[in-house]
Amino acid sequence: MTVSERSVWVQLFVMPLVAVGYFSVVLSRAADESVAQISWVVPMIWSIGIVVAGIIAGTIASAITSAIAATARGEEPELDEGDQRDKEIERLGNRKAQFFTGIGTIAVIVLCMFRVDPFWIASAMFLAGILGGVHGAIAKLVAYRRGF
Amino acid sequence: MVGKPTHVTNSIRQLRFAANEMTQADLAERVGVTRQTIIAIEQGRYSPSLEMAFQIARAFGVPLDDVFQYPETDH
Repeated sequence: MTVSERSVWVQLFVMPLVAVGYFSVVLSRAADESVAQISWVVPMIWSIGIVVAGIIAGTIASAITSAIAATARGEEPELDEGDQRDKEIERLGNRKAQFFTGIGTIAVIVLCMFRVDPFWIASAMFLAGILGGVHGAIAKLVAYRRGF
Repeated sequence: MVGKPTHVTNSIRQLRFAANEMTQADLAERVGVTRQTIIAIEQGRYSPSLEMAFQIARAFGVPLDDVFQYPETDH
């Protein structure tokens, strides 16, 4: 497995976890106070930071773990970053992710038209980003495993 | 059952064994790609670019047709 593919697995694991964490925090706050009063900015910044840092740290950790496991099996560690096929798969996944980015953009425009609270606008964008990332990651893994 | 994503077939496995049992890793190194890509091509899960196809053929020292085949009846 190349570093690129491992990174996709990490992305698929980290993104939904962080989204569940973010929405658990802010929606539990929404149960007690109006959305205009909710403190959602800090959880949002933390969530975005954790996604970025989590994917980087997870990719490095998985590369180290797999290298140790391969060495223990007496095999050559596979630390290739990827090649043309990985780039094609990356493009394919990004194209799939764009669908949700588009939906998110339209959702944000509609929410702005109705002058809803910024909490809903930011959350809609965040959700669209997460769904796009997960959808793109699944498409990439299908391409890696079944071909394309 | 999901069909293979490509109609292109290949003889890489046979050619590797004919070439002194060349490993997938050896071929990958010669072509300049990852071992996973060679595995994917061999299993018909990935159609390489024309350039990569020529590089694979060159690694075996055979014409392109000896490595890759495209069935007449399939479209």
